[in-house]
Amino acid sequence: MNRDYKPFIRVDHLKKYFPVAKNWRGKNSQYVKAVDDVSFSIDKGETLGLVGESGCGKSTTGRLLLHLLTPTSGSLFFDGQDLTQLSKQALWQKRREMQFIFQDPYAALNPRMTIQDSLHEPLKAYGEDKRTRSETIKTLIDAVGIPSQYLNRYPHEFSGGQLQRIGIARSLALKPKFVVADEPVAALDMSIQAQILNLMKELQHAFNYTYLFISHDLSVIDYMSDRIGVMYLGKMVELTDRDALYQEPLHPYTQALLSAIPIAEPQRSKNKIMLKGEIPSPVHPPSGCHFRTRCPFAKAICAEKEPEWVEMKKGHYVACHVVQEAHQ
Amino acid sequence: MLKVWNRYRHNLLAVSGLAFILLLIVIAIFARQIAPHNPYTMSTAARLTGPSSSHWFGTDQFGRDILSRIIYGSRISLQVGIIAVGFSFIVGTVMGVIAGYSGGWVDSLISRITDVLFALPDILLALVIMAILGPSLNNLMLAIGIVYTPIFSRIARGAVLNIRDSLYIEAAYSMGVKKIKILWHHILPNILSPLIVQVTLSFAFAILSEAALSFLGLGVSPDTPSWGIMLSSAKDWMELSWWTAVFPGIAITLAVFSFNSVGDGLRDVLDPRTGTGN
Amino acid sequence: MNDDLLLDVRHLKAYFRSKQRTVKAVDDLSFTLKKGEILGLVGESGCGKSTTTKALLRLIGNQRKEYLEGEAFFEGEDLIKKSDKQMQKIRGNKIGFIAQNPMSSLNPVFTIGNQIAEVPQMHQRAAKNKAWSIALKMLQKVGISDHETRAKQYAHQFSGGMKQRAVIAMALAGNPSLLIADEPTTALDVTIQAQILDLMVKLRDETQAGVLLITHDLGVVAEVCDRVAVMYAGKIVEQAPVDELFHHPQHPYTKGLLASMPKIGSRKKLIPISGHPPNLYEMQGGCLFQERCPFAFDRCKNVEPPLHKIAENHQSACHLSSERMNSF
Repeated sequence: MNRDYKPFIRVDHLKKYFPVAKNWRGKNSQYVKAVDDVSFSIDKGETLGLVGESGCGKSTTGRLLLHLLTPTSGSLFFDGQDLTQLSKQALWQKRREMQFIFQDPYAALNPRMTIQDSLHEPLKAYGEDKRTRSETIKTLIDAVGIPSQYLNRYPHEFSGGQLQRIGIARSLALKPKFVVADEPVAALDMSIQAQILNLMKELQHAFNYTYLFISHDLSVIDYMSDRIGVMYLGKMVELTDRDALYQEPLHPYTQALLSAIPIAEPQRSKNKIMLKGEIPSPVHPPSGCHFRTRCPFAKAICAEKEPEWVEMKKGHYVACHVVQEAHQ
Repeated sequence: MLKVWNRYRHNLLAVSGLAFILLLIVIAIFARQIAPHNPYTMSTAARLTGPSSSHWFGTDQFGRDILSRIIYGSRISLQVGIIAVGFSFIVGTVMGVIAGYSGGWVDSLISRITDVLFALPDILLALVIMAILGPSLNNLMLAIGIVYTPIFSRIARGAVLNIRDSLYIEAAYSMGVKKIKILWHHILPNILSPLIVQVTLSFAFAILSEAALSFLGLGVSPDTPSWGIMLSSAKDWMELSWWTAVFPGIAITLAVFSFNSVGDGLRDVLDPRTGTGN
Repeated sequence: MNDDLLLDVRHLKAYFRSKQRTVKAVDDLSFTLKKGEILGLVGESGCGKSTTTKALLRLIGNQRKEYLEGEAFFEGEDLIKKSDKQMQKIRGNKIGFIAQNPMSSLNPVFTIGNQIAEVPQMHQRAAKNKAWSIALKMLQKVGISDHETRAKQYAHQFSGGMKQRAVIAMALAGNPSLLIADEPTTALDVTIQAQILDLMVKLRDETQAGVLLITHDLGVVAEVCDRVAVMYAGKIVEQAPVDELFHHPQHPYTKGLLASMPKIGSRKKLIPISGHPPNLYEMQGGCLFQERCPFAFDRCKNVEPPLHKIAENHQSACHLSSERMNSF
């Protein structure tokens, strides 16, 4: 690997544990390991997709990357600077360059504020004067396709698709370099989903944004991403190019996930890998490999040892004993 | 705002309550012009005379005109209401918002203080405070203010907890909006409606407490025209001359009832769960 | 009459009235369902698909604010004409219902077994121990392992997928000939969704019950349905066997939906449907889809297109498809 290569965003051994129970002395005794030792990097202008089922830690990872949550341990490099080491003021300055797009655009807007006020707010926070603000907002709502005469309306007067356009405009108002989108289309109807996905792609093309795109829907992730990371119970289990992930998924969970997605193609062969059982509780994950309880290929070693995060091919990382053994 | 009024005006009781309060305010402001007699002027000739054309509500044991004393008494009642409730509203809300927003040991401390104050009966607490401070109008207002602080604190804290974790708070924070601004722009406007309702309800309690404490001799000085004092001194003459007790009593009842019905009406229109639509 | 015919809905209308306006949630809906068939009713939020199920179950009726009209022959008898008392005997007995959120169907204070046993106790007047053994059998049937212990547990001890299995067991306990499932897998993770869909197909094969599956997900439709009806703004706009619909869609809305769905491994740009769904209380004359339709012409503005037969078993409500037929 090239030593001079510095990715735009680099995450090293990131962990976030949430306390869930206290013992009789009031000390935290039990934790949910929401994100447990995750490492990856994102290049400038790239879209990394994070996919996984509920409780896999993908949303927490997104919030950690923007430092909306403080990591329990690990480091987080953004444009060469470790966010975990920055002062409050420096972090606030950096916050301008990284923004979040929320799943539920209605809940992310203050119901008592007009769209106009909500759009002005982030710019005001960083001290932009009124004229610059108004100009920025005008360009933005043009770009996302909201007519400017709607600016004086309140959130409840818009449809879900329009609100998500406004949400996107608001997140982009500060001209960020990096955007985390947490299930931005999950709450939308299918005919609207495509509008938003295309809009996000067009904006990325125009302004060279770097995206972390989070979704439970592998087909949406596949459409949006250059590379895809698959998460399961707080761990990343596979990370590779989107083509490689679709054509030769290595981890058994990725394979099962791909096969479980209902495809709008009735004639398709219906040889599915049906996973048995359900996702275990993240408070008491299984020993060794977290996936072993549902894995059709689980061996004795899977219960004893956590699989290592290994680069099997160039840029294709997997954490699985079975795959790694077969490869040797 | 207009929408709120449109829903509010369908509630007849609340509208009449509001009308009476407005009337009371006008009376208090223009007491000097409205009152037919000087409320302090005594007259040995006209002691305990019943309602007549010159004294509509009769006179008390010193020959003072009861109607005029009630009119001037509205000043005391409103003053106590505004200052005492204003005190508890501001102090309570600040305490509650700090507790709810900061959490941790600050929250525990404020909540425990609130709990202790809550555990004591209102009037007993006011009595204790008055006994320590000594009787005077200012102390009376302070005592009533302290008694009603915990309820505001508790309501504010609950409301803050309710919306502190809202997505739009996180969204504002993620966009670099400073915490103090979030508090001012997002949290305060959204917790105001339950507090406004409580203000009107507390107003009624404050008027009642002033009357009660004055009745017990711990309020304002006995010659001040206060509804509570009037009721208190009337108790000795009630059997002889009913008007000394009945008219101040009616005044207190009407005022309290009006504030209560305005509070109930506001709660209905401001609370989306009981309101008729959004 | 066709012996296989299980449900025959004709001109079903369900309106909601308030002081200011009438919302035509379901407007002149006609469809049929055969024994052992799975009919998918697809559409976006607010298209009236859930109202249709509520109307069929008579959870809405002719009251002050609700208006219900039309016929729905179930095993030869009109459900719309039944009294509330008669409906109570049919609901949960001959017609089973599976709701989107399993928690809404399960009572937290009774054991799962008791709730399932209640069905045969109430409808078939089965003795207590017989009802219990039916409950156990049902739990086994829906694939709940260790069913004898599980029957004595409460809803909160079940995970999401298991709860939905329990709800299905409850719906099956009356031995219904019609199952109505309203978004049965929307609240579930993909791998669990695959299990539940698989289970529903298996149960259909076993019991030969007809299934009316309400969903917004075309993928789910393609996986399990035999026939599909696409709904838009309270009406069916296209109806066809599943292969036919996916391979030869006729209505511009159906085509639009298929083109706006991301497909794994496909590099094609998504083509979204422009605009957003109409308000059901501000409807103009003519075709309801015209504002969003790329092919709309004069006639669409004035004349509402009827559901027109364009091939054996294939109907579409579009002037274009009917015109094409006429020109042959």
